[in-house]
Amino acid sequence: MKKSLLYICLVILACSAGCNDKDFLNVAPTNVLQNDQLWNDEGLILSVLADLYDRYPDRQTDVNNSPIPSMVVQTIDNWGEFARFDEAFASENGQYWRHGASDYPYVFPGMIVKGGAEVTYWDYAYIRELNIFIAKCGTSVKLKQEVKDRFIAEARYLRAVVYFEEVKRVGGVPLVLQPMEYDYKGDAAYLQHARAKESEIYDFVISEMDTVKKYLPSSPISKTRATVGLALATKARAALYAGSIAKHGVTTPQVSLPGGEVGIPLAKANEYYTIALNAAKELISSGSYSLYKKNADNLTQNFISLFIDKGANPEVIFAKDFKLQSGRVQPWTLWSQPRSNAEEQQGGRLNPSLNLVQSFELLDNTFAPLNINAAGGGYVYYSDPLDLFANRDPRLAATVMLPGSDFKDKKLDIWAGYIRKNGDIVTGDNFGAKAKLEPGGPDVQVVGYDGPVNNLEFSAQSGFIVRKYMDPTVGSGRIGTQSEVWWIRYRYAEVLLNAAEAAFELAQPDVAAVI
Amino acid sequence: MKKRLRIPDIIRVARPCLHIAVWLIFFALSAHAAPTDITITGKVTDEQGAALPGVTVSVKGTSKGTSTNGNGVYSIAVADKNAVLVFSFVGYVKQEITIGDQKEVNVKLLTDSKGLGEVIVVGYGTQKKESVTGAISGVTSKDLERVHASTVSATLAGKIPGVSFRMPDGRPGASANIQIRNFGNALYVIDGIQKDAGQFNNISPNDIESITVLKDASAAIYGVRAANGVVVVTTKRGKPGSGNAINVDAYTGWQNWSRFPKTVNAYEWMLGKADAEMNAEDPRTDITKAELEKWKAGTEKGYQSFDWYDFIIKKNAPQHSINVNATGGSENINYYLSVTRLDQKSVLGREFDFNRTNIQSNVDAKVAKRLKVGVQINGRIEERDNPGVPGGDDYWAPRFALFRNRPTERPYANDNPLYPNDIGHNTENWAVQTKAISGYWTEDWRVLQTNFNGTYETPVKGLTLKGMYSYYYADKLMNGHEYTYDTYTYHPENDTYVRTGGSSNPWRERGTHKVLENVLQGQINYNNTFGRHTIGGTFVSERIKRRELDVWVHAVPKSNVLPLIQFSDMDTYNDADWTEARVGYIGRFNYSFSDKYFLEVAGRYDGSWKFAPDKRWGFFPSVSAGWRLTEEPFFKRWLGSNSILTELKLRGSYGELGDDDIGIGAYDYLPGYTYGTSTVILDGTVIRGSRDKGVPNNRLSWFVSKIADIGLDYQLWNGKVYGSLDFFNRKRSGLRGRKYDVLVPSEIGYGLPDENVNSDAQKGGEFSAAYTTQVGKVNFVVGGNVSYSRSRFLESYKPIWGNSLDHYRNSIEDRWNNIYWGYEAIGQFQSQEEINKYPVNVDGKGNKTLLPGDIIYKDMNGDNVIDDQDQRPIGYQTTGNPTVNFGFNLGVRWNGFDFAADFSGGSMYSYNQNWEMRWPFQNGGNLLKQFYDDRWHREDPFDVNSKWIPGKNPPLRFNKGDHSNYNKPSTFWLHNVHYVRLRTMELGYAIPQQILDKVRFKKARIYINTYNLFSLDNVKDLGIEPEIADENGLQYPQNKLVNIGVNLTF
Repeated sequence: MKKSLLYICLVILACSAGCNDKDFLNVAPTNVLQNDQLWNDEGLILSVLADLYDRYPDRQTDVNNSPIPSMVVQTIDNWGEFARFDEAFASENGQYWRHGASDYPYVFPGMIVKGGAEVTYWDYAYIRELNIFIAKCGTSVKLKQEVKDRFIAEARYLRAVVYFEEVKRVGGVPLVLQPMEYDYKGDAAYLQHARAKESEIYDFVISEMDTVKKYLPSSPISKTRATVGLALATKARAALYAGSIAKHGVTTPQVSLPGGEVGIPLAKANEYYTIALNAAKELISSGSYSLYKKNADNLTQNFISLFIDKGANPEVIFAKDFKLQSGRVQPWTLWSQPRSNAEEQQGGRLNPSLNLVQSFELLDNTFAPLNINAAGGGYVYYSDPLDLFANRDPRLAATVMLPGSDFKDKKLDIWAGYIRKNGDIVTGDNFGAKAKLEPGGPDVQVVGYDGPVNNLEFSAQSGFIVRKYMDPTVGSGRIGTQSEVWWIRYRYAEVLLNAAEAAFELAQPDVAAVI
Repeated sequence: MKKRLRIPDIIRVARPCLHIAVWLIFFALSAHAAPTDITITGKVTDEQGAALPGVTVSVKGTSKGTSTNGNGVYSIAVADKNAVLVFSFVGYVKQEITIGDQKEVNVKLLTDSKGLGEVIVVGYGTQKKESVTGAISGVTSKDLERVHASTVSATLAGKIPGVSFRMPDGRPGASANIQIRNFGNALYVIDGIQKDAGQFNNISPNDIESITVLKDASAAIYGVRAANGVVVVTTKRGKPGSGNAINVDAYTGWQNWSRFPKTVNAYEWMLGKADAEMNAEDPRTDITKAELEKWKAGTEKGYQSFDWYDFIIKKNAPQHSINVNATGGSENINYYLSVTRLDQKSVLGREFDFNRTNIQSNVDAKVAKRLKVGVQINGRIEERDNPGVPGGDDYWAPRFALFRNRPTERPYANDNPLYPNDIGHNTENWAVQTKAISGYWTEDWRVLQTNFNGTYETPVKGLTLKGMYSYYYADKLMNGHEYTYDTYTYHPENDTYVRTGGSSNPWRERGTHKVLENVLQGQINYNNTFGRHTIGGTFVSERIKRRELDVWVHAVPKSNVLPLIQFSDMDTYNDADWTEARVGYIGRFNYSFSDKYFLEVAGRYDGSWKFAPDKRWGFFPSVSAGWRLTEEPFFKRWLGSNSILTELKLRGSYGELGDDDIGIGAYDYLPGYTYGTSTVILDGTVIRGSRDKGVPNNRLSWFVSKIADIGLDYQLWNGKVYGSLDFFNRKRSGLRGRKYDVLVPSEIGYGLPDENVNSDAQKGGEFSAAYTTQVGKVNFVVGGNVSYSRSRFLESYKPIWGNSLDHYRNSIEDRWNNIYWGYEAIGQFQSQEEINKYPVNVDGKGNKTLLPGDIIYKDMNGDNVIDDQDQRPIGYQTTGNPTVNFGFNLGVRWNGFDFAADFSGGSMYSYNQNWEMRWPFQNGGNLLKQFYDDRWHREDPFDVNSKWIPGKNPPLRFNKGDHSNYNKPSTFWLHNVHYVRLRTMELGYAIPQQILDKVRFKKARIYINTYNLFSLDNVKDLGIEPEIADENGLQYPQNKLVNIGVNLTF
């Protein structure tokens, strides 16, 4: 009996050891930062800000046909969107649907259109988080004032950019500058904000740039965070948009609303152009940036390097950056590397169109299609495929991999087959396929190892492969390595062009010419 | 308003004291003296007169008991001559004998094919079968032993009424999807501890004594994770006083794919391609008749067909298993020690393997008169080992190759095995998928579960205390290394092999995962009979804490040679660590009167770490009752004395079960930021981003699942026929949904959180019957079961419809769930004239892409164009378990021979043909033979004006998925599947005792056994296995398995 008692005691002890259920069930999370831990720690606030930077809207198209909302963005980590229009085709099974799309509605959230609701860029979730950041960062007591000012200025910069992207698409939008929360009381009227005028949103963007400029670093060294240069470039771009809408909107009076939510009065055009020109001039005169001329003797190479050279690149104002072995790399080269020297069993996806190629001017400033057919019937013969593209704007060869050009020190193998004297075509349906040119003759290669083969994925189906942003580094085409080439969002060259355009619109062609 | 005190409140108030108080009560209790004893001895045998070891012999109404030794002999002391001895043994009919003046009682036990014998495992205990009031079914080792599948779930097909079954994937070590009444993922309880499906599947089937499923309110006792039913597993124990025995079960088997779609040879492929190209809108082909002749002859180099199926799929992949266990017991100690080794190769060559070693050690010891302690140790090493193949699933590329690779492609350049050929898509070139070329991938699980328990039988009659502590440790080690390799092109002109492709993506990954789990259980049981009243009570407290750690690292190694991961090569290190904590208090009360009326009331008060502190606790009550009509005198009178109905029990139950798996994260109630949501490069520095978690969701809590079940158990002809019938309805309310009536502007920037507003139901029933008889020396058992369970959405919160089409097409209100929408194919065009005259625009292009044989869709809305609006419901879900499941089994024994066959089947689910299974030459790859053999085609493929020859399938097109034949789901491609298959068949022969005695074997039996030998179904023509779900037909199908094996007992 004594023994039994002992056992009972043991059991009771064991059972009651953890008897406090409340403590037992309180398990601390391992990846959640509580507000009080976060807002007084500069490193952690930067972590929040970094995530906000990460959602910068790189949206050039906004067609929401993609089943995955995050896939609708035309950037370096999303090649397929570049095949939406007629600049390029997609060479991958399952992506051919992109061709021939012609209808790109810009629709407000909640509107229903045929084929399902398609929503334009309308990212109030992002705005809400920016607003929270601006509010919470302001309350931080331990942060140094200049650090706090810079953080808030950066968040305000990003918020202005979101409004700029929204106003571009749908005109005036509700301007929400405080985080909102519903109180579940059944009446949501207090959360409603009317659409602002289109001009008001542009004015907001412009004035925010003026404000944040005061707190941002003026040095051009940072290419990945907001700087004075970026604020000015953005201001110039936004003002130019506003000015153009004001000036040219008169030709489409149906695209306007009486309350000014859509459309900007013509009277404001000059004001905006002036703002744009001045902002651009301010940036130009700062001398912080200049055009990229590291390979001035080879303009094709210069234009290639402009996009992939991350070392003290004087032309880049703002970019989305990547870094090898950080978990933040991009697959642009993996996706479109020429199949014949690909580092994986894939590549060749983005095929620029003939239309794009022929839209590069000849060196004499004229436009012409590729010279293929001889005047008296028959063909023009070239000894080197590259000769077909000779004497064109050097940017062509820097934008498009032409048949016969090199990538990673290997010549591309793009050719479609043989034409027999009788006009018959001998070709194959696979990379480097073989066939007999004459009955009984030997099997010879009749199509390039990069294609083109119709309908064969990864082959250069248009005869071209994209070159811009392609990374010549070994490993850039491997799934496990990929590339750290950045994606440039603002370039000094654009500022010059914007200045020129604004000056031209302000009837100052002499100023435009000088720039 | 007066505040009503609800039950949970009472418990909450009482909880802190309750724990200790109940234990303390028993300090006050004292022992009482035992009377003088008479010793009874005897021998227990089976119908054939063979000794039965391990039979439990107990004295009725007391806790006294022993078991027979290896020779079937027992000895037990009883108080007086009125004592009644009860002889029970799993699988045999219980016998009760009043001693009277006998000193020796010899008993012959009769086989009981009812399955569970006299007791059945219920939540936290066992119950006599006749007193069970819930919908509970089960199987024992007897039923499982003849299924030689690698995982436990795969052994259950058709065995248990109400358990639905589907095994879409049959790769080595794969598990079946089993669900209780199609409720969703069940909770598994193994030897009293809550576990997951992975742990359930990988215990050795040899070590399982019984599996019970709790299908209704009887599951509520497991609380917040029990809403989808509970599977309770008990492992084998030694029988006290049974002597020692060593058992061996060993088999070796040969596996083959049960079915896989066939593809064409090179000649057929080329002809098909020519056919397809001439069927294009712009008919033109480069293929010539002369070329086709060469392919047909297949003699000239370069014109030979290659059979990838024969190259990749190896016949008769071996599977072996051996289980050795030692079991037995003396008066005070009983044990079961077992080790099982399973080796399973796959048909994909011999490098894709699964193997597992299990140990089970169950020892119980009576350390003091009233105290028993026990330990159960369950451990295993589970290994998956195969070549490392680029892509997520290493089993994918070899199967994909079967459809992707053309028969005109060859694995080796110039057929030289030293040079893998560059076929342009080399991931599918089987020649490189070896550990030597492509690399390796292994995943090992090492798992140890240890339960320690103590049972103290208090001096108060019927009152026992039980404590259990369980520690679980699981460790995963995954290593993958994909090598770089080269593929070649042969140049005959100069006899050289040039590297033209391959992989230059070295990939090295390592994943580790650890699970640490502690469970503490205290239990008080009380069971006593007062005259005709029997009462029972159980109180349990349970605490579960589970921590999981996961690390995954990735590197780009510099070489294929060394396995160590270097820091400088790494680019990813993912780290995770999370902990779950749960507490439960369980109470159950049973009352029965005169073995006629039964009542059970139970409840569980459960807390989960997942919810906000003020929403953590939930109370889950259940009640059930049973009434044995056949014990009622009036009913007996009404039936008359010669009635065939000998037992009829009505049962009813109702319970509320909880489900904390509502799709929200554990900390959604907390505000704050999630760390590590992104990786951002700012000024060249890598920064891990943090993102706002969003508005805390504190409006959602568990949903409640209410199950009502009404059923009956019956026996006819004194148990020759028996079975049960059940109907149930589960209503779940408080499912996640959104309130739409307050329109909040989207500029608020977040969606209002879901609330507990939706509801659904799962309805169905099941029936089982078995018949057992003996004709001369032949024992005969036949049984079957059928179950039906379908889910229905009830209502959401104030749904809004734009128009009636929107309502028709998108509403789910009060409709069956998982409806498959598509087009109705009403035939195929018979001629070009018919196409030309056809009024409806079928292809969306004015029918200009159509040919004779193309599919005609029904224009449901009569607007003369086929578009989205012409869809209607055409089938059931394609991925879930069948709505109707059934099983049928047959067993015959004669002298030493035994034969058993188990059939199982399913119905009311769909298979959708898509991708390779729908459009010919998908991906430009191979062509399915069925599309070639029976197709609409022209008499002369090269002459567009020649006569059309009809077939079952539309005319071929080359990789044209956007054609109207292929670009929409329709009744042409969707099949509502029915199947019944011979799941297992076994023929065994037990060597006669006279021979065995000479070699000192107690038992020896040899058997031949099959698994999935054949299937009768309606998808045979498609070449697919009836249980696969993948639309492309490329799933690894179940194996057809033939084994030979032995059972030995020393």
